[in-house]
Amino acid sequence: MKFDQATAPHWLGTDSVPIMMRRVMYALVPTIALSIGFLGAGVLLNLLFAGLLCWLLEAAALYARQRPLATFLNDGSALVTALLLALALPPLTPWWVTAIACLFAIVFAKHLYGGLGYNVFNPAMVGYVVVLVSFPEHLASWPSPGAPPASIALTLDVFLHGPPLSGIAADALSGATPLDSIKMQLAQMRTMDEILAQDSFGWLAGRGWEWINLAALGGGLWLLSRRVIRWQIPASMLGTMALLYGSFFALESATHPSPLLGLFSGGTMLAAFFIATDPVSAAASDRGRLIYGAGIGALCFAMREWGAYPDGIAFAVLLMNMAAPFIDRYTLPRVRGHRQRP
Amino acid sequence: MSNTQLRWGIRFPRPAAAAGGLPLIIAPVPERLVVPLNQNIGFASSAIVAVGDRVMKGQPIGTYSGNAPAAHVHAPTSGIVTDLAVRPVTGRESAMSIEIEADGQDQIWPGYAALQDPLHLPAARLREAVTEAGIVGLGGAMFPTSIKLNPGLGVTTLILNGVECEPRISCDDALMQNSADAILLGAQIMLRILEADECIIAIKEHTPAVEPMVKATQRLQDDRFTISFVPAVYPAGGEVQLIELLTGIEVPTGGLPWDTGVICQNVATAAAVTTFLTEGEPLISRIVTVTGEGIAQPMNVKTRLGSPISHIVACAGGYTPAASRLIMGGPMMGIALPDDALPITKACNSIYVAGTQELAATTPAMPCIRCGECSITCPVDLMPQLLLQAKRVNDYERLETLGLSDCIECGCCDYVCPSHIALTREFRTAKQALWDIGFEKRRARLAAQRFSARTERLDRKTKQRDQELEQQIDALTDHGSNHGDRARDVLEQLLKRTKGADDQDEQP
Repeated sequence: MKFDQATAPHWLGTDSVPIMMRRVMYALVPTIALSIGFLGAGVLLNLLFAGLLCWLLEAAALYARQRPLATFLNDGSALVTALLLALALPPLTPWWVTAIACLFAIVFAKHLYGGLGYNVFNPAMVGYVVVLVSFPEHLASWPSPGAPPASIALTLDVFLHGPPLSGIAADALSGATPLDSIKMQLAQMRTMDEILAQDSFGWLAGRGWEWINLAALGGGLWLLSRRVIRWQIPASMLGTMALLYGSFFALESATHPSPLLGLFSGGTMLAAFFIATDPVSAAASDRGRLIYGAGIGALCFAMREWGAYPDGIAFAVLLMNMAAPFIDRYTLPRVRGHRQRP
Repeated sequence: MSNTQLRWGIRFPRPAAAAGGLPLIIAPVPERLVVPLNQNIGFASSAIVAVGDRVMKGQPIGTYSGNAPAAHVHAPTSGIVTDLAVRPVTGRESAMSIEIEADGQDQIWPGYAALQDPLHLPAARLREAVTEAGIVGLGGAMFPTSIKLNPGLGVTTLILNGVECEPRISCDDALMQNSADAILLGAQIMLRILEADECIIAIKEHTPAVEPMVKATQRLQDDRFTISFVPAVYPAGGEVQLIELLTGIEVPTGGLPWDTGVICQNVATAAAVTTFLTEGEPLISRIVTVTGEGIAQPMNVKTRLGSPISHIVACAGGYTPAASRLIMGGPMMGIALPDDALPITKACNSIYVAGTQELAATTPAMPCIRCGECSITCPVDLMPQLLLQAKRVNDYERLETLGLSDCIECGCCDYVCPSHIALTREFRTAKQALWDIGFEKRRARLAAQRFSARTERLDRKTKQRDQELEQQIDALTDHGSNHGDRARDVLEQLLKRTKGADDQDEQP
């Protein structure tokens, strides 16, 4: 009888990159559903368009780089990037803006750096930031979740031809995000109490946004339970933000949002569990990840509080991506039996 | 220790059939046995029998002299020596092996006496007995036991290792269920030899062996003994891991376990010591777990060393149609064997025949996504993802700082890797390369030393000869007035020539 030859270990676990990516997508389902519910069909349009385009770009890039198409197209990573990118874009985004974001995410941030596993920066955030600084006018206006969502016709019109330059439709359907509106109104010397009493705010944070964030939190906790992600980055990011929001709130509650409001606004939860946790561009060790997450939290808070953009998450993530190798250098764990860390 | 959550390692799902453990059977003596003379770490012993000799069960057939790390080898049964040749032991290694054709009488060699009360013998005599019995570490390490049982090592704590490291292996469990008293007597003997103060018995929690071992320990009434239960996490049974789990002491890198004052001995090793002293039977048999998807009736088989693997597989009902890989050892660290004619050796705790289903599907490896699961599972706290990076660019300096040499090759990182990267294989080759580099460095240093020594020697020699010749020239020129100048010319020519010849002599 003849037997095959191989080196140990002979058993392998059942986890795989495609399974991990698929789990990330499952965990995004509630967030996606609520986003569509609160923000309109534009979200779905963005998701479908970005998904298709990212997948095609991935295929083209793999073909150009002569990589096995079947293996990598099935890994699901391009789709996860597309979903995160699409969720970051406003529901009424012209197609060319989305297309440019996808191009930069998949081709520039991912494949020009060597593809899956080699990207220094989070691809979705690179794509988002490129269009954020290039088309600020298209990315600043979000529909108010309280108002009736845009009609399908208007959504398609904006998608194909861009937003109407002026007019009642444009004004009624698009406005600032809750975070943006807080910032503007505080600048107009309103107090937090006055602002929060407005219709666009719900029981926890911006109306609708609170639910979207809760959905992301739920999905994130499921990912934690399935061990797709580990607790260090979300915990330190959210912890740092809570601490900073809390300190400022304690100093002067009239002009600063409460920690809960901060944590359940904008893309905080999505970032904490789905974006900052991208292992490729994060720090490697547990201690490193605590520092990495804390850095994202602190930068995000600072940019929301003092920056020009309504939400600083994308910039915070990219800045900490840059710092990750440096953090790794100083946070390697001590090997057992060694006196010092390497 | 019970119910501890270990941060590292893998908790494999327990097989359904393991509730009461696998049955233990005693295999019949095969017709033909092949006994390799190198069944230990270190040197092979040399044959003291010739083809055609008749040997008896337990008779020494391979011995060594001196203090070399080696172990005697004994005839597993009585019969005729039919061959003495180099044969494969595993797929990779071969050794001089003695083939014995059994005569079916299993006649015992009268050279070893059974002792009534071994605990009263002097420690030195006991240690000698361990050497005589050819006992090596039966957990799979094959380290000659008498070397480890050295009172000079300053060992204070003996850990009796009953924690089978690999999943699915239960030969020690079966032994503990059946020979708990013999194991404990062996441990007492070891304590006596070592002059150690305490013995910690380590058993995997919730295994069938727990109850008989606890009862036997209570019967023993020896307050040097304590029992610790270790979680069923792979590789908690590894020597270094177990020492840290039980005592909190980390074995320093590059050091040996006994540097910490603690040594581990496998329960089967302890039982082998007892068997020799009380029955006069040296190490000629062991329990082997025969299991895996490719085995029809998985069981523990007590078999003579030197039996062909096919023989004990037949005892376990033979192969199933799914059988596809023959592994000596367990599924995580075992060696795949090319065929089943190879003999069972002292190191072989299990024959694992993996089936097509349980074998890793040959999915192509994906790139590392730095998820870090490997570093979480690593029992040594290495960062395999960073080691892999350094290996890919052949940065051996970084590999060394990251602690590559501390890798125990347990395979946990491969198991959890979602990208299915063969990390352990990469590290094995990197370790070899690192070792080669160290070897090259040592060789270069030696060559440099040799070179400077030679230069110095040559210098000294030349100077000495020059001096002597000059003295002679001086002597000649002083005396003669007429011949003086001519003699000087001749001598100087001579001097030049010898120098030239000298250099030529020493040219490589």
